[in-house]
This record gives sequence, C-alpha cells and structure tokens, in this order.
Amino acid sequence: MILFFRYWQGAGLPLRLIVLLAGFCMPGVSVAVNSEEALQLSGFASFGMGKSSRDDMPFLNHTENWSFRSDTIVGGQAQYKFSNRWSSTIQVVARGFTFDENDKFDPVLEWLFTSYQLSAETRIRVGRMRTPLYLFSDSLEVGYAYPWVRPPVDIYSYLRSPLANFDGMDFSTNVDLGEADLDVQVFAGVGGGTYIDFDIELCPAFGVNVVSRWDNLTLRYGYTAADTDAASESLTAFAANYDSLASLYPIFRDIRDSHETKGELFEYHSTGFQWDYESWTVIGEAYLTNGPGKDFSSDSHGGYVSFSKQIQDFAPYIVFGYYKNEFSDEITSLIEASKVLVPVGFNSDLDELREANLVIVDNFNEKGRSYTVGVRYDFHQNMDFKIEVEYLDSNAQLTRTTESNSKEDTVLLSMVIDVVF
Amino acid sequence: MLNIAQMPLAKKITFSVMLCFISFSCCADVSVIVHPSSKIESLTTKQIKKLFLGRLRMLPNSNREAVVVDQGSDSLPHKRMYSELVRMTPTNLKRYRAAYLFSGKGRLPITVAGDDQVKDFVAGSLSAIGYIDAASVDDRVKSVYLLTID
Repeated sequence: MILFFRYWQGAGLPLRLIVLLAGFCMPGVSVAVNSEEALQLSGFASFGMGKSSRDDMPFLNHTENWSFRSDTIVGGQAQYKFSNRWSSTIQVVARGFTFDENDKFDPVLEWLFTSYQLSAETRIRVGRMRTPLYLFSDSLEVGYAYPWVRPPVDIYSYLRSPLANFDGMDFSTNVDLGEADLDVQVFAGVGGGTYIDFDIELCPAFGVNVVSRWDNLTLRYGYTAADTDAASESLTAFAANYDSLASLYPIFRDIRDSHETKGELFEYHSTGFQWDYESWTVIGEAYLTNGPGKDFSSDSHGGYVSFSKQIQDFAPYIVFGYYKNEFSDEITSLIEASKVLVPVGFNSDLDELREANLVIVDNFNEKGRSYTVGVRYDFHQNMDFKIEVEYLDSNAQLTRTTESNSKEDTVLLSMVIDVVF
Repeated sequence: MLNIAQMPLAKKITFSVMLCFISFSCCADVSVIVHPSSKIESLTTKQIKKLFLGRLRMLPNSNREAVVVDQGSDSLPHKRMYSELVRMTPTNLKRYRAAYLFSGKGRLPITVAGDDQVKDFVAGSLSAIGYIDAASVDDRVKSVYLLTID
C-alpha cells in the first residue's frame, strides 16, 4: 500500500491530475431528469477587517493598522448530479491571506470529487477532499456555518494548513444505533502543501472519522496517520553550515540531517463535541499529535471550549483555548553530544553555529492560550455580522507567527460579514 | 386548575369552540407526503429527521435519491416540522445547512411556496418528499407520517 502511494507521489502531478479529472468525468453514464435540477451553483464569502494591538506580533498579518485581507475569503461551488447515484462537486476558494504563495485571492481548488451512492447509507468518493482533522473540517472557510469570526486558533492551527486536503478516496456509511447513529468515514490518499517556507508532503495519509449524533448532541473522534516529509528551505541552508565538519565528525552530518523529516509517521488524534441545548450551544475540541520523536518533528496537544447563547438574532460567545507544541529534542541532544567531541572554545564559528542552532530549535517549543469574546448577529436570511476581541497569550513563533520566542500577549479586534448564496 | 366537568354548558361550548379555533389557527397537524405510487407506506420520526437533514440521501424502499421539498421558513408547516420533529432552532438550521452544502455532502432542499406547490412538486416526482398542512392532503399525494399536536 505504502509502495503504491510512494509510486503515486513519484508519478507527480500528471497522475494526480488524472485522478482529479477522473473525479469529474467518471460517470458519463446517464443524465439526470432535467438540467435545471442537475446543476446546483452556490457560493460563500466572508469580508473581514481587523487590527492587532502590536505591530511586532502580526497575528495572521493583522497589525496596528486595519487589515481588510486577512479574514476575507470568497468561494464558489458547483454540484452536478449525473443520475440517482452519481454526482460531482467542485469548490474553488480564494483567500486574502494564506501561509503559502496563494494569498492575493488566487483561486485554489479545495474540493473536486465524484461520489457514488452505494445504498441509502453508504457512499464512495474519489478526488480531492477535506482531511477530517476537526469538527468543522468540512466547512473551514464557511464563516456562516460556525459561531466565531474564525475557528479557534489553538486547534485549527495554521501550522496544519498544508494538511487540509488530500487527493484520494473515502468510504462513508451511517450506522443506526436506535436513538443514536454513527457516521463512519475511512479515507486514504496523498496530500501536502507549503507553510511559510516549509514544504510538507503526506504520502500516504489515511484515517478514520467517527461522528455520533444523539438528539442534539454530536460527538466526534478522528484518527489520521501520515507518512510525512517536511523540509524548510532556510533551515536546510542553515544546517548546511555543518557540511565542512561532517566528513571529520559524522555527528555533524547527523545534526544537519535532523533538520529535515523524511518518511516519518505522524499521528493525529482529535475529538470534539457540540451540544445544542435550547438556546445554548456548547462546542469543545481537543487534539493530540504524535510525531516520530526524532529529527525535525514535534508532539503537540491543545483544546478549546466555546459557549454561545442565541438571544433572538444575536448570539454572544466566549471561547477559551490552549495548545502546546513540544519539539523533538534530538537536535539539542546531538549538539550537546558534539560538544564532547569538539569542545566549546575550539572553534568560535562552530560555537556560534551551535548556539544559534539551539535558539532556533527552542523557538519551536511553543505554548499559547487564547480568550475570545464576541457576538454574532444574523441580520439577514443568509448573512451575519460578527465582532470579537481575542486575547492571545503565547510564546508561539510559528503558529501565532510572532517575532520572538519570549512570552508575549496581543489583543486582536476582528469584524466579519459572512454571506452564503 | 381548570375543571371542564364543573363548567356550565354554555361555558363548555365556548371553551370547546375556543380550543378548536386555537388548534386550527396555530397548530394544524402536518403531514409528510410522497408520490402516491411510492412504495413507502410509512416512515419513522428518525427517518424523516435524517431525510430532512440530508443524512439519509435515498428514500427508503427505493432506488432513488431523495429530493426534499421545503416550505418557506416563515410558513407554519415549516416551523412545526423543524421545531417539533427535526428539533432544530431556525438559526442552527441555517448554519447546519450552510455547513452541509459546502462540505459536498449533498444538495439542499428545494423550497417552494405553500401547500399547493408542494403537492404539485411531489405529485410530479417519485423522488420527492415534502410536508403540508394535514388538512391539505388529497389523492394526488400519499401521507406517510402525521405530526400531531401534543
């Protein structure tokens, strides 16, 4: 299986393109009753503005000046029904801000799949789909679908944005349990993307997602495992400084190589619930990521809980979030071990390199908290307005994109208008 | 406490008339309807809830993907259907539908105005399932579930 996916990755773009095209062309079988019913077009958008209390901690690119791009998203979707059982969906999303090269509203293909309904409860999909990492994975960009300006950042970490989609297939079924029922989804495919200058490849990624519903309570557990390659251009260049010593002392080659991750298993566990009780909605999620514990990897965990209450068209909410990222100590241990072989003071360039390296590595040890207060106002049949204040307390250089590893705090004010059409 | 048995006759009549008036004006029963040739004879509350939330995509006992027919959210049958049978508030329903639509799970219901249009649609499609005021049911459609007043 893994070999197959490796081959797939090796085949690169052409093969993945063919699978995606197959996702749209497979059922040339029969045409639905009439074209008006067969094709359904829809769209969504969020127009956001926000500002942060500090220029030196540009969270999501929000600074002390009002930014109109960071939370602004436009998406369009077409669903085509070929027959009673076959249908295809395409969704394209353009974002004002991303952590890869697709900001400035470049259209990105988020969904492109064909689904076949095997029975009333069961279906198979092939193409590009959303990786079920969270409770709101399927509607990550659709602000109208959730209570907040954006999904809680402690869980919906931007670090995992390259994992958002996969190209492959899934199988899902609904199991009746009397009063309750279970939606079970199993999936496999390949994925990847860019986060700042990290290139991340998942090959393969596979997992299971179980959602149970009982009256107004939803419970979810998801497990995703991914054979992962990760490398950063700047870190690789930095680690190349050890090259001149690598032939004399193999430990420096090990240090250099530890700045990348190749074919390591990462596991993502996540769980969540939503409880709608009269006018109250309580939502909570938690996750645990297990890396390989070596090379360039980390273990992390986090969670949030959100309370909101519907008062006519208004829904005030509060959210508490927390996360912690613990970086593998392999590089640190290797550097310390190298000091036995080449003691401090022997070569000042090497001493500087090792010290700089320890600081860089420590920057990946992060933790953060967030407290959010806001209100959603449904002012129109298919539109809402939200305003929120978020207090972020963290030393997170990566996920919060702060400038330093010291413990800092920021206050972020955001407003957004969400539309579905 | 109201004790109807102890009421004088005139009051009893007035009271009963009032009750009828109340039940007709604000709380008419709602029937869930399908095409008269459909093999479905009756549906459970849970099946209907899942069909109207798009979580059961095919009509039971059929080879057909369900085409769910909704009425406007201000209409009485809609309010009764979603508040008492599906048990979802209007705001939660709107959010649920947005998430459902854009997660590629399926299609949203087709919305038409009034019982007559629901009947027209359902009478013309073996895949359709809709709901109307129980008093509007006629032989062009088949009632497979009756949502009654408690």
